[in-house]
Amino acid sequence: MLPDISLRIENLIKAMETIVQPAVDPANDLAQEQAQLMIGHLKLLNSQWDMAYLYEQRALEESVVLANVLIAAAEGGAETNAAKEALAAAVGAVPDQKPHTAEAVNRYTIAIGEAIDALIYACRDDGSQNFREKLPPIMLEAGEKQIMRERVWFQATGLDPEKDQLPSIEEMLLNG
Amino acid sequence: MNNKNRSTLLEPRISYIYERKLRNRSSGPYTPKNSEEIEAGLYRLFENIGFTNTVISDVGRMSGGASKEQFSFSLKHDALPVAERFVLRMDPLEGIVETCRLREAELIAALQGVIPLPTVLAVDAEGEFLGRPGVICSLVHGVTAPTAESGKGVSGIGIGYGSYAKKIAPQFVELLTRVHGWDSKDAELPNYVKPAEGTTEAALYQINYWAKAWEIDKVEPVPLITYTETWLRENAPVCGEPCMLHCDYRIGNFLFEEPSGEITAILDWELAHFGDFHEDLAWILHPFFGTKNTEGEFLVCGLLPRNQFITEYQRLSGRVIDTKVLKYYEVMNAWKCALMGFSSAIMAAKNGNNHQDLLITWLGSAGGVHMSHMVSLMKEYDAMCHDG
Repeated sequence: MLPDISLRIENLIKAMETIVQPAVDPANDLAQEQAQLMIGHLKLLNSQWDMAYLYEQRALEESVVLANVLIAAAEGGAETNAAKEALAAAVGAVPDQKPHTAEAVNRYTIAIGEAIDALIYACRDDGSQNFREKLPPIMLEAGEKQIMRERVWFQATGLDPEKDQLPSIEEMLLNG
Repeated sequence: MNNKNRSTLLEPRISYIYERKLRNRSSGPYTPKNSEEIEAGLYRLFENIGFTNTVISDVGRMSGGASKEQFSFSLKHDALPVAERFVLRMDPLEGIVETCRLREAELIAALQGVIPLPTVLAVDAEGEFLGRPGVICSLVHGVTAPTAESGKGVSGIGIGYGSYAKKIAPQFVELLTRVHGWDSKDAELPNYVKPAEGTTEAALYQINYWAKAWEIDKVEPVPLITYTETWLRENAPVCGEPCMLHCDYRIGNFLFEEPSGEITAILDWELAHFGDFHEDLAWILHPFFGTKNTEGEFLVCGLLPRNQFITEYQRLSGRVIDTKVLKYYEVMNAWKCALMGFSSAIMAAKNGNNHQDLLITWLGSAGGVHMSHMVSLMKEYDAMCHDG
């Protein structure tokens, strides 16, 4: 692909930094801040776009793992059993051959997430004591994986106080 | 959407503004208002109030205010012959949080004389004249950050007070205790509901407020957010005596004078409600709002060390902080931060319904940071339970 995506984003950043931003009225705080944010978002996008498909694939894989752990643990009354079956169906709908776009992969993650949400609510309604006790560590362990993924993905914003201790996006998605 | 687990305990005005938000959502996209539009709206509003020979001038956008559009302007009319400056705070179509200008105006009026505040000139609760709901207050002199630090950080977050910290910190704590100790029984606050004493209502009202935001603004499911909602319901503490809370009492939300360091106004009352004082303390203690001093020591809101803040608050308020309840509300606040970033911020930007779509998606990207904090706090809470 010529010119490639990174080059075009770099062109956008350069144009913003060297031409557009200096031309913005210094007294217009909103415009100044928006220009700075545009540059920030462009740099962030440039650090992410090439890994977006792998990111969504990883998110789906982790959702399937969490769903299967929950299905194995879930027991209780009618609501819990119905939610468990719905979650199993959402996991079963994921094809062996994954779709070829990040957005299409994410649709499966969303469907599984909705079914997990329903099972969490059902557990509170009529989950067995055993399931209620198992749910917290399951959710926190899975949550920590998601959190790490999100934090690494957005570390270039500089909003993470521990950003210097995080691996790079490549390290996380290619090696982790 | 499974609503069976969601309690219906929600303040009526809050319920109304959520319904209004949903009704108005499709009327976007929203574009930032320009000075001419603001001026025209102000003339309509003041004419309706009954001001005569009104002159509005020098309308200018104010920096800051990640959730509201803010403008300052000069106003004179027959009853105000010498022009004075005022501030308009106005809702965009959607934002990172849905709040009510009418409630804000009611409370600022009710708290006059209790703590330093701007005065309310007018409120357009439904946006009948301004186009969007807005509240107009007097412009109070002062700065949100030392002049040398101004322009740093977003919404005031990340700024340091330098040598002003020692002057501001005692006032910061003392004014908070005045809010918490305020006797509101004679106050006119028709759009507020006080949770019942000695019940879990204080926590439940807040869980429901934020769970409702998640319900209507959820872009994608985040099971950890849902799980934490159920965790908060199951662990909701009893609040013996609900009091008024600011709920965004932090760095960037007060004005002080230079060089005296005297606090001249506490701002941004949009999230205020009656609740458990631990909720306010937990928000103030959030690491996101703190900074480190030159020695590397963490300062609450950039002002004073955590232990000193807690000791001073207890001494001045006469209240005793329950560390487990404080931890509970720290979890709730981290959940709120993650939730609003993952839902309302992104939904508003997705619909193009905010004046700063770029800013709120930028802030929304910190959702993972807030969730990380939330999980650590839940573990600490569980450890406290096991330790007795």
